Amino acid sequence: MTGLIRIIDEEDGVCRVFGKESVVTGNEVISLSYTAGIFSALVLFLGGYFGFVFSCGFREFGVMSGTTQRIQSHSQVYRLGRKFPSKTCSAEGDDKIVTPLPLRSAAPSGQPATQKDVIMWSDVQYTYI
Amino acid sequence: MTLGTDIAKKLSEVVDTDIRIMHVCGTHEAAIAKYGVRSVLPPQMKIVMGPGCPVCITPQGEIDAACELAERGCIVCTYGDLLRVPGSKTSLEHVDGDVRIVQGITKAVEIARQNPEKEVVFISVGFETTVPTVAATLITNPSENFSILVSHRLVPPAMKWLMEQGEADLHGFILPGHVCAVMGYHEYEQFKVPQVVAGFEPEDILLSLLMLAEQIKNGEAKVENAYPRVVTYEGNVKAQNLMKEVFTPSDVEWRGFPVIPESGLALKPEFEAFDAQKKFDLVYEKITKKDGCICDRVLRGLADPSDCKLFGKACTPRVPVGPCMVSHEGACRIWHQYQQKR
Repeated sequence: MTGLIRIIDEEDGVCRVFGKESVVTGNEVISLSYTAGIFSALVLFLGGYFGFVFSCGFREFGVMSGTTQRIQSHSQVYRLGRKFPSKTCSAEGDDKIVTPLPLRSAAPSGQPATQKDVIMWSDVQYTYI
Repeated sequence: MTLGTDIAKKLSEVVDTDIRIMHVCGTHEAAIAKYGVRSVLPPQMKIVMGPGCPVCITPQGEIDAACELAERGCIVCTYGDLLRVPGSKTSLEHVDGDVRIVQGITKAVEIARQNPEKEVVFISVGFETTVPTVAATLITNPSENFSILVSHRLVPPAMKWLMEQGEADLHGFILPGHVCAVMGYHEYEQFKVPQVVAGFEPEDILLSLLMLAEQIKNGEAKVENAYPRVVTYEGNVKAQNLMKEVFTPSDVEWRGFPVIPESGLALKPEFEAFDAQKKFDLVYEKITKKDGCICDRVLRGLADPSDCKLFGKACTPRVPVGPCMVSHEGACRIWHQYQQKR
C-alpha cells in the first residue's frame, strides 16, 4: 500500500499528499498463485518420474550408482516424513501447522535428518511397504 | 552514498549506550531491510517494528466478516494486500464468492455503478493515509448498493498504548512520514519521548536515527521533522477536515492488541447508510489465537520475525500463517523477501 496520492490545491497551487492507495494489483497476486501452481506441477512431475525410475526401474535391474542411491534415500525419507504426520515446528500452543517439513520430520527424535538417519529410516520404510 | 556514510559515522560517535527505537510504518521497515540500514548501525542501536502495517493489525473477526459478505452474495472489493490474510476459517482469496482487487475506493464505486442489481462492499482498511480518499468519495453520495466495511486505525492511540505498557522498552520513535504528510506531527507532541518524522530513503532514515540519538544523549524529548520536503507541522488540513466530516473516533480491537480507546474510526450518523456492518447486521467475533504465529509479538516490538519458529518454514509468502507474512508492509514478508536475519 505505497501508492501516494498527491493533489494540487486549487487555492494555492501547492501539491500536497492526500493519502495512499494500494499498489498491489490483481495480476501480482494471481502471478504468485500461477508461479506456485507451476512449481508444484513441476515438482509433482519430476517426483513422479524419478520415483518411478529409481524405485522400479533401477532396482529391477540391480543398477544403482552412488548418486542414485542417495537420491533414492532422500526420496524414501520424504515419503517417510509424509507417513509420520508429526508436528515439525513444535511451536508452543500450535495445533494448525499446515506445511510439514519432510527432512526434519524424518528422524524419530525430531532432529534434522543426518545421512545415517536417512539410510536407517529408508530401511524401516521398506518394512512398512 | 557519501551522505549516508557520513551520517552513519556520526551516529556511531553519538551512540554510547543501548538504544531501542521503534518505527510504526511498514514502508519504513521495507526501506530499512531493502537498503540494509541495520548493517551500518552501531551495535548498541536496535530498530524494532511496531504496528505499522494496516493489513497486519486487522483482526481476524473483521476478515471473517468480509468473507461472510462474499458468501452472502456481495461483490467484495479489497486492496490486494488483504486478499491472502487468513481469517479464522478462510481468506478472501479462497472464499466462495465474488472478490475483486481494487487500487482504491473509486474503482469500487465504479463497480457498484456497473452492477446496480448487486451489493458492493469496499473493505476500507488503512491508517490515516487511506481515510481521506474514502471520506472524499462518501461525500459525493455514491450509489445505494455501495457500502464500506470500516477497518481504519489511527497511529497515535496505538503509540500511547505501547508507551503505557512499557513492555517494548523503547527510547524513541521514528514517526511515519506518510501519515504525518496528511495529519502533520502536532498530535505527537503529547508524548514526552524522542520522536522524529522520517522519509523513506535510507539517508532519511539514518538522519532520523541520528536526530533521535542526539535527543536521547542530550536528555531531550521532542518531535522533530527529518522529512520537511513532504511533511509540515499542520499536515494537509483539507484532508483532515474531510476525515472529520465523515468519521468519528471509536474504540476498536487491533490484532495482537486489546481494544484501544479511540484508535479506530466509525462513520458519522449521516453516513451510516454506507456502513456495511450495520447494513448487513455483521458482528465482529473475537477470535482466540491458536496457531504458533507470533505476529502479535512482532507488532508490539517484542520479537523479530526470525524469532518465530514458523518463519520461512511453515509460514512463507506463498503459504502464510500470519498476516505479517502476507502484506508487502508486513515485517515477516519484508524480512523473508530481503533475507533479513536480525
